[in-house]
Amino acid sequence: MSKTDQYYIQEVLKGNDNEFEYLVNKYKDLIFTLCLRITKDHYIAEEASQDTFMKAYKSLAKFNGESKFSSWLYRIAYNTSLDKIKTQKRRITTETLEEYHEDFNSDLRNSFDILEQQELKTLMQASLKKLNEDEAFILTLYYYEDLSMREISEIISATENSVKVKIFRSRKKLLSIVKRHIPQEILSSYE
Amino acid sequence: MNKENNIDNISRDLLKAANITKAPESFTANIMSKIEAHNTASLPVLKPLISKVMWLLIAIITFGITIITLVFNKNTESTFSIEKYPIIDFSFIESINFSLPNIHISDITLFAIASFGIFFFIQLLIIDRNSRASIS
Repeated sequence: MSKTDQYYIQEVLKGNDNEFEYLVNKYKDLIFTLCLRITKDHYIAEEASQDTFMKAYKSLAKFNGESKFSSWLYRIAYNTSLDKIKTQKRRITTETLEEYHEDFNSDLRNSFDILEQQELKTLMQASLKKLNEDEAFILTLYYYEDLSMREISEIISATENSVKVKIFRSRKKLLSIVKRHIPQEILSSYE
Repeated sequence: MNKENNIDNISRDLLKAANITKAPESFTANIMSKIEAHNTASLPVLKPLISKVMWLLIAIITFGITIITLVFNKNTESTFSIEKYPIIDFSFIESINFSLPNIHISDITLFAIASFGIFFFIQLLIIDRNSRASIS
C-alpha cells in the first residue's frame, strides 16, 4: 500500500527532513508549471516554486489537513508567484478578451488533430503565456488537474461564482489565441 | 448548451495537450540543501561560560604566579618539602556536637515536602526536555 502525503508530513514533523524529498518530487513539476503559467518566466518560476516548497516546509506544522496537501501547496504557489511579479515589478504582456469575437466550431478540433503532438504542445504553451496571471493558472487547475470550482475558489480566495466567470472568459480567450496561431493552411482545409 | 460543451471539451483536450513543464534537474537537490541550511542557521549557538580569551588569561596568570613563586623561593629554599608546611589538626571536628533538638514534623508537612520534591524533579525533567527540543 502506498503511503499518503499525510504520512510523509508526519515524518517531516517528527524531524525526518529527508522524507520531504518525496513530497518535493511528487509535486515539483506541477508547482513549477503553475508558477510558470503565472510569472511567464522560467527563472522567476523556478524561484517562486522553490520558495513555495520552503514556505510549505517552514509552516508544515500549521497544515491542519482540512484541505488536500496539494491544494494547500497550490495556494502557496499562487500567492508566492503573484508576490514575485509584484516585487520584480514585471509587466506581463497579455491580451484582452475584447479582441476576440470568433466563433468556435468543429473545424478547430479537426485542426488540432492534424498538428503533431509536440507542435500542439508548443502552440498551447505559447498561447497560455498570452493569458493573464491567474487565467492560465485557473485553467490548468480546472482542465489539467480536474479540480472543482469550489476547490479553485478556496485556492485563490475568491467566490465560486467569480471562478466560474473567470473559467468561461479565460477559455474563450485561450481558444481565440490558439485559433489565431494555427497555420492558415490547416484551418482553410476545413473551411 | 451543446456549443458550451464543445468549448469545454476542446479546452480540456488542449490543456491536457499542453501538459506540464518539467522542473529543472537540480530542483529537489536545491530545496533539500536550502532546508539543511535553514536548519543549521536556526540552531542556537551555545557559548561556553569561559571564553577562549579568558582561558588564555587564566593560563597566563597561573603560569605567571608559578614562575614568580619559583623565582622568589629560589634564594630561601630550593627544594620542595612537605615538612615546611604545617600539618592541620582536624581533631576539632570531634569536639563539635551534632546533636539536634528533637523536632516533631507532622505527616502533612512530610507529605508536602515529599510532594514538593517530586514536582521539583518533574519540572526539571520538563525543562530539560524542552531545552533539548528547542536545540534540535
